[in-house]
Amino acid sequence: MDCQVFDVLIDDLGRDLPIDVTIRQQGLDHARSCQHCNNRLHEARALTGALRALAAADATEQAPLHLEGVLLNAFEEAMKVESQTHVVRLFSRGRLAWLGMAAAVTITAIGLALALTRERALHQGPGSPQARAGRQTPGMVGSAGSQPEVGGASAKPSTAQPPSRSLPASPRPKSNRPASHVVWATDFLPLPYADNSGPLGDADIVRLTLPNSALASLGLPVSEESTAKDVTADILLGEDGIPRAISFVRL
Amino acid sequence: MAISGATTKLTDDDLLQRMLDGDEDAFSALYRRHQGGVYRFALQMTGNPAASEEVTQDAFMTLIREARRFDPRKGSVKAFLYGIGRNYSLRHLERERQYVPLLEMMPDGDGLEALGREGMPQPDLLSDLTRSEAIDQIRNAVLALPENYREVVVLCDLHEMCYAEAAGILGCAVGTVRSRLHRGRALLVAKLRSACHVAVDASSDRAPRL
Repeated sequence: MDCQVFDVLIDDLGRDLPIDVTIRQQGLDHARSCQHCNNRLHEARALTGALRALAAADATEQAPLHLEGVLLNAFEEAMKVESQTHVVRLFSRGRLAWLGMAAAVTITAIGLALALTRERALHQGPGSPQARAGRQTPGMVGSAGSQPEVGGASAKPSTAQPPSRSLPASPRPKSNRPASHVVWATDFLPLPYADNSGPLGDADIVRLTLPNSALASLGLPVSEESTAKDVTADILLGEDGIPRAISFVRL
Repeated sequence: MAISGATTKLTDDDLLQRMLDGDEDAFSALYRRHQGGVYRFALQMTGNPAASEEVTQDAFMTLIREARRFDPRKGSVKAFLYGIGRNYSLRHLERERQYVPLLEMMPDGDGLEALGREGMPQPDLLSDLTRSEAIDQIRNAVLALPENYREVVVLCDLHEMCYAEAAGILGCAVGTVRSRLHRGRALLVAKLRSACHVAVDASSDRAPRL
């Protein structure tokens, strides 16, 4: 080994690094035979010792204790922001599209279910036993025990609580009567001259059988041919006793 | 904060993964495992405790912010943290450059050769210096090295890292680390001897003579 090769090895030898045993021995042999390289090897080892002494002196150096608390707070804050960002990501781009599709499918399914239910009810119809027993479609009313009694010529007044500003479409409850007693009725029609803008208050519904000609006094058109006939109707009376609406009934 | 035993037994990669999942204990364990190294590296690079604290804080803040960028295939968590610490240390040195004493470069390009011509330091000069003074001399000599040599000496000699580990942190080839270490150590020997022939022999009693 010559001085040039020794120069390459000197740091590994001076730092006591694990190197090939043969090479190491050759380097040491060269140092024994060359005073200049021997001196350099001694200096390199002395330097290594000095640096290790410095490292040992610094070994106890630590970051100040408060720094950990500061960083833990920062970590906590960062995690909060991260979780918020994650929520935002949930509702962004592709995920939002998927959520929208899922919502659309759900709404469609609910709509279909409702439509099927409605259609089934319509198919059962007013003449079906179920409908006669209790179901009703708009405009069909089964007179209930507590509601205006369907009772021939005489009309029994009954009380109802219609909505305050609008006329009830069919304020009568479902019928529990047998099918043979089912009656038909139209929705309540506002009377032409009635003032329906105010609240109805404690409104009453009375069933009357009256001559067709009497409808004219309520502002309804009456044909001359039918003036002799009687009609049965439910009259909605406001709190003030003034007729507000009429529903024609077919017994 | 008390760190559970189970956490302290985990590898750095496991701790980092848990940290990414929001585990505060995992972050705390990582911090306690590496804060000393990062802080000492910064201290030995800058010689400034306040700057070292700042570097350590910045390094771990970066870990909090950018842990997802860590790629275990490119290196260890330790190397990742040292790398961040190194960048912040160099940034600090850049800012404070005007206050850092410039290295009194040797007139000759090769410090070891020059030292060899001048011969061994005088052992008698050591007698009136205490150990702490000698260590201060060494510390000052390290701090006086140019940054590219200093960081290699700090990593390889003070932190006892292998060439490959240091190369990973510095982002250079192993051969570059070896050559910079060779040059840095040569400059150190020259610097120490010129600074009253003391530091090199401060621990010479520990280094066996041939």
